[in-house]
Amino acid sequence: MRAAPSTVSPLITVRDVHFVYPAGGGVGTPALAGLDLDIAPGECLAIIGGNGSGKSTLAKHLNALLLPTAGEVRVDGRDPEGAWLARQRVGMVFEHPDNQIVAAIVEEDVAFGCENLGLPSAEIRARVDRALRVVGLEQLRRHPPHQLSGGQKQRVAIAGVLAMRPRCLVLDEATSMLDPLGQQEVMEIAFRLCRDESLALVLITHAMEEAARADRIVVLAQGRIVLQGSPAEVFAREDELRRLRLEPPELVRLGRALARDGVAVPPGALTIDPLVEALIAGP
Amino acid sequence: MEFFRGLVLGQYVPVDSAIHRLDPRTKILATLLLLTVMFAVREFAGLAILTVLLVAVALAARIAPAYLLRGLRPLFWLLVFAVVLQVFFGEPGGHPMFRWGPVVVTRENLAQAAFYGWRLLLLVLSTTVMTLVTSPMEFTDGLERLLRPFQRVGVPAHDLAMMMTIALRFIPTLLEEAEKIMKAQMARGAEFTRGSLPTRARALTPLLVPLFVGAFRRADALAVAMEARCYRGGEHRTRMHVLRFGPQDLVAVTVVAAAAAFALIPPAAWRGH
Repeated sequence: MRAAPSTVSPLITVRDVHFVYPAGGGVGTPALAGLDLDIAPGECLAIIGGNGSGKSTLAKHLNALLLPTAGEVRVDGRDPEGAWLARQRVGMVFEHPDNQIVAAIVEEDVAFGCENLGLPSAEIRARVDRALRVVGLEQLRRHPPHQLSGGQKQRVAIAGVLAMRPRCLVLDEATSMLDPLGQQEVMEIAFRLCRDESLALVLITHAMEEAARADRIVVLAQGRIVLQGSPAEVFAREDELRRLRLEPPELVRLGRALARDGVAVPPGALTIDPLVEALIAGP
Repeated sequence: MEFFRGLVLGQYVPVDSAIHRLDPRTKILATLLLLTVMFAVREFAGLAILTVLLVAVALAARIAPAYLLRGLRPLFWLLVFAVVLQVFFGEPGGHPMFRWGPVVVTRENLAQAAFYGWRLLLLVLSTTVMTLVTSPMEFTDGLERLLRPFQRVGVPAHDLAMMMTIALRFIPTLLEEAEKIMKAQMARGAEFTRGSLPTRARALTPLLVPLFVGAFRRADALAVAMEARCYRGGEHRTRMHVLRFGPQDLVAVTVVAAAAAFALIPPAAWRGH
């Protein structure tokens, strides 16, 4: 895993953003309360936090689906008040696989975003073909989406975003409704895109195993960033995480348990290999 | 989808045939023409010609007859109802064939009943064939293009097409959901298939309420997802598939128009030659 490149100018900057959901009559509770965040081109960032911590609200600010009540969000240095640019640059895949597919045929759905951008027909065709190849769904191009598995539907959604040539892909709990196999297929594609196509990846997730694979983790609580750093750094703060009703991934907890029993586990071990090596080496 | 297996109307069968490959505009216009002619036809001969045409189209499109007949099944009771009504309560007078209490069945009324029944069958058959050979997306595309000239007089062609696309996209999803809800209710003792009609209608309430709530929630999420993909209505929007009206479409339109014209010529005119 690469460290977040800090010298490059950020792709998305979030500056002191406040957001209050308009409530019927009274003043709503703030969902975001003064949030600062930079997202670098090509980095893989996980945003975690308990329910109601503002994760999804933040995600919707990244491509101007929501506009901040105060503060500003810039995509590629520009103010996304003219939202269309931001929405082309920052693609989003949502939680429910069924509620984001518009068309009754896979390839038509992948084309939807490009059609909205007003691209010429031949260009759309080429982009759709490529996007379907990248997510490995060429075979299912003419299928109706309701015959697809959850994981395949999310891959269709990713392809639809990819065809718009974004610079950042936001997965807003995109794997939470999927079975383990589906989760795996979606995450493999997302990480591959981040690695090979230098697409910035923002994972809004409850799954700590997914977050552990990111370059950087940001922990939200009550609309603020309360903790951030590399996965190893963040997961080392177990007590703080627990107070936020979060738990480090199982492997981290296992590593800690082994360390308590005297096994020489390297600090910040997030994968299975260092644990195995430590066990073989013995206490 | 056990409960809804019988539903064929609107279920496209992807087959590669000359009929399937036609421009959707051709198929829509041809169907509209045929429907109009079916209402205008006054003679059995006309219906026969239209039937031959439809059967030929179905054969050319390689639609399994069983599939087509299954599509007609929901029509059965309507057909029976229409025919019975016509036979027993048709125009008075004519040649009585048999008498049953106060009811007199005349040859004219029987012929009329057969005519109306046949026509009804053809009406449904033609739309079924059209939906079987036209993918929903193509159909919507075709409709959008056909309506585009009327946009100037306030017909929201794009919005209508988008609404239809989404409806078509979500029909299977909502059917699946309906079935899931039904099963969940049945698991808790609900009865959907027994009892009198009013009882059964009442039993549907616990199905319809969650179904509608779910549909609204979906609509909300879908709207956000569409906006996230830069959707802003029909303006500046292009399409991946550009419709092309080719020579084969010209042939198809000509054949249908010719058949329609023949169907409208009264048999008396034939005998005159």
